[in-house]
Amino acid sequence: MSDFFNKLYTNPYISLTKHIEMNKEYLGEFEELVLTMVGILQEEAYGNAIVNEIKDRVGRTCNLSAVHVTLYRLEDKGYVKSSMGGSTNARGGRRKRIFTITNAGLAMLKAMKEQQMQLWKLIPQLKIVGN
Amino acid sequence: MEQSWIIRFLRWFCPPHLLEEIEGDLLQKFERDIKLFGERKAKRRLLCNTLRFFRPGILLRNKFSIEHNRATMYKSYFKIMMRNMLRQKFYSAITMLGLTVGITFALLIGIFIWGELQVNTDLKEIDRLYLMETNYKTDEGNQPPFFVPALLGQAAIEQYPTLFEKYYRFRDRGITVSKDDHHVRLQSMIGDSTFFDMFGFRVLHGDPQNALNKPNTIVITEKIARQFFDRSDVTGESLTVNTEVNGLKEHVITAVIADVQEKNSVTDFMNSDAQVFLPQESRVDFNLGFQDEWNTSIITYLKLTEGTFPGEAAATLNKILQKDAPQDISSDKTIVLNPLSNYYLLTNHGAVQKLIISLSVIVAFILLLAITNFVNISIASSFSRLKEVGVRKVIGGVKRQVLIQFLSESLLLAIVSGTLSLLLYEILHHYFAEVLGVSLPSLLEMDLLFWWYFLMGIVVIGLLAGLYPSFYLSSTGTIESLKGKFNSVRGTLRFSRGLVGFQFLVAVFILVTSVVMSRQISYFMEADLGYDKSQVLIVSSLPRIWTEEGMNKMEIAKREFLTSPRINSVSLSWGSPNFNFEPYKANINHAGQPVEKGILTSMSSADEAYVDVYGLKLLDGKFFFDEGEPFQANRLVLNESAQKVLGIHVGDKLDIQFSDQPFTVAGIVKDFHFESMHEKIKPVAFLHNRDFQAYRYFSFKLNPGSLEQSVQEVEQLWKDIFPNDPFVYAFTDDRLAITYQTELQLRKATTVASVLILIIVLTGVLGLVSLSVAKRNKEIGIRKVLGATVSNILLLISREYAFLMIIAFALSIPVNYFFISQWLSGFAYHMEVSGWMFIVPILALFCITIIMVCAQSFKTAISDPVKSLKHE
Repeated sequence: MSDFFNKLYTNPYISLTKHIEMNKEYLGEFEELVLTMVGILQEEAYGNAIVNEIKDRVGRTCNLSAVHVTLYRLEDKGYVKSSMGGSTNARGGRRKRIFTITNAGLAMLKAMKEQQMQLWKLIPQLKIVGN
Repeated sequence: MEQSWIIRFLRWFCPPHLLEEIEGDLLQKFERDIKLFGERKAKRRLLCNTLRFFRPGILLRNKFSIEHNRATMYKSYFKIMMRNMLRQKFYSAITMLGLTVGITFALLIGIFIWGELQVNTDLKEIDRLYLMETNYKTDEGNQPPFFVPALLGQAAIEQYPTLFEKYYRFRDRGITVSKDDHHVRLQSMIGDSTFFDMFGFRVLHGDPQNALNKPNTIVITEKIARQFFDRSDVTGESLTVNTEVNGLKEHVITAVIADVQEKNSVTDFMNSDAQVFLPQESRVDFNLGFQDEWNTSIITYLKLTEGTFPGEAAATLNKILQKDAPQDISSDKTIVLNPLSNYYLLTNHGAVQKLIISLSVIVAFILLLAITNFVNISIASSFSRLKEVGVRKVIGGVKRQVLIQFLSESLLLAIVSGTLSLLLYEILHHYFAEVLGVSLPSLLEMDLLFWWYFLMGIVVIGLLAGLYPSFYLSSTGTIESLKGKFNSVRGTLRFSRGLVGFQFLVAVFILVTSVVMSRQISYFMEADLGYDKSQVLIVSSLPRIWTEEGMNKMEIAKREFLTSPRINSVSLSWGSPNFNFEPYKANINHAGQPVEKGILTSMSSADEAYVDVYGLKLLDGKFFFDEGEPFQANRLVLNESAQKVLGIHVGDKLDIQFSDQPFTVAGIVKDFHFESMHEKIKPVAFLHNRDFQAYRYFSFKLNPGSLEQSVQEVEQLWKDIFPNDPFVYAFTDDRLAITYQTELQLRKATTVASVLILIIVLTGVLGLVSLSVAKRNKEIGIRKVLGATVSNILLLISREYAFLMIIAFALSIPVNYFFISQWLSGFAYHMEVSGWMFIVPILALFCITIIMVCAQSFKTAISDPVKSLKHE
């Protein structure tokens, strides 16, 4: 049985995950952004780095505390998991909490992207209006 | 560092487990800000950033998880429970089995009782409906209590309209109703036109106001309409009724009513199941006297006005009776009012109520045993759970949580068992209804109230079953639980033993009772009844032409029947033994002596062939006449009891109450059981049909051979001889079974109950044995090390149960003996209670239990003592 479900989950043509995940939870826009950054940064995903990454890539200034709270919320929902990293001198010896994206988080992101793409495709684009 | 007060502030409000990472991030940002903007600005930014962490998402982060945890806890409870059940499949199965069996049985009985309590509830304004009954001051020569003077109800309404609102009076008659060649024998009610309004029967077609106030009209139920016409809209059609006085008469259907509740105390009065209704005007056709005379007997329902006390109403009725009725009618009776709402339960000396009470007691016992079992097995299997409880407590579980865990487990089990029982009920109810001869509706027909009761019952069962084990488990100390030690083994064992002892007591009680009942009923069925009940066919649907002409007609019919080689003899009579034997009782005495001082005798009527058909033994004289002798009026035949009491002989003359001519004793027959064996044989006198001017049954003694073919042959002859009457027959054996129906049902019920109780008790013992064996694991190990053999150990364990059983048996025997004697004394003829009826069930139970105990403890007895000893 589990094999069967695995195939279902990984098959790109069957959007089973989307339905399951979309029914269960809903991600806000900022949550989605932070989750994406966690996915991008891999081993370097911690509060400050995510703030900087957002600033660099999207050009959006955001608040450190907002990122932290969002990360905790994502953790509660099971989309990221976290562990304490090694200490560095740069932070007064304080360790970082490194977040990594879970399979559920990845599936969720994917589902949301697909959904957005589907909606996007419905918008008539680049139509040359002949007159 | 100068920024330290900001960090201190952060440390003050931030939850400790988040502090390090947040502090780190803030410091990192601060260092970067210094490089970018300089120290002053960086400091301001640090303060700003820190303050922004002062928000619920951070401050309350600790408390977030609690709501989350609860659901997880229940999930974990459920998971652990499933694991335990799967690990101990045997115990789980036993627990569920016992509980399911118990609940199913309770459902079957409960729904039957429910149905009995619903009787009459469909009648309109039932709380104001009453049935009049007569209390006679003497007990001789009385009519049944439900007959009252016909004019009383009418007089009451006319004189006291403030107390009495309506009345309905009727007499019942079995009549033959025909449509062309289709003849059906039906029970009818001949009564007032208030019938519809009084009880609220739903009229499908026709006008209820004018339906029953003209002669030669008839009202039928929908069922009968469909039977005759295949549709229900049949007002204006006509049916032929075979009347006793005026022969065949056309009756116009004036109304059709919807089918009435199967059991009720109006149309189903005394189980008569009336389906057709005739107006009072029809009374003359059936020789029932007039409804507006004091000396006519009739059944009367009264509806009181709102707020009237029944006591006041009854007093008023008696006042009217004494004032208006003739002296000879009013002097010997008083009138009582029985509320219709509980008439069904209380009639016939409260037979139904008694049945309900005794069934409830049986159900309560079986449920109690099932719960007991559950408790025992839970305690026994909680051994393995004790460590779990310990671990839960060590990691922070409190007593209340453990309690809730185990209570919800038993509740869940009860709910599952309840659901299984509902399924089982749906599957089994037809079978049980058939076996027990009662009607059990499907669950889909039950109303909402029933489901509430059911749910409540399940919750109570679940809590009762879980209460002791969960209190017991949750109150065990943490360290003891971890070590796997019970805090008070002795107390628990005593409790469990008490429960099992109680189970033994009940089991023996039920077993012995069911053996005795079964023996007594076989005794009935096989006893010499004094007459020959085999191969006798009774036909009850013959035309009742109660005149000289009718008698002659029957005489001719008899001769025609006798031409068939399959028929040995034919008799025309009022009744047959155990089947409406006597029309009335009267005093008889020697001629010339005061008849009131004579003996009360059952009067019946028959012809001279009766003695052959029923194989009665003639002791002296003849049964009315010898063969070929011409008819002579005023002869009678007595049974032995009557003859002995009177000291009378063949040829002597007798006076009979209500008759002005003396009768001559023609013969004496040996006593036979014409009533059920509950009753002692009473004096009987047979009159000849011709003198009595009435008859009801043909009895055919069939020659040996195929019964089926014989019945067909009789039916064929019947259709030739009586083309206008249906052929409704019964066999004497079957009628006898109906006489003992209650006992036969009781026997089946006790057999079922004893099997159930055996299952429950034995599983209970199983649970307790495993508990005590596990408990004494180490003791057994030590004993084996010191040289005990396997048989020593088996003896050690079974001794305990033997002791328990002996105490239980010793306690139950006297109670049981008393109960059985009481039950048997209800029968005038019963077998003797002998020792084996106690010894055999007790021995059987004893042996089965001991074998089970040994089998269960054998595994421990043969196990390696080293294993049990090294285990701490």
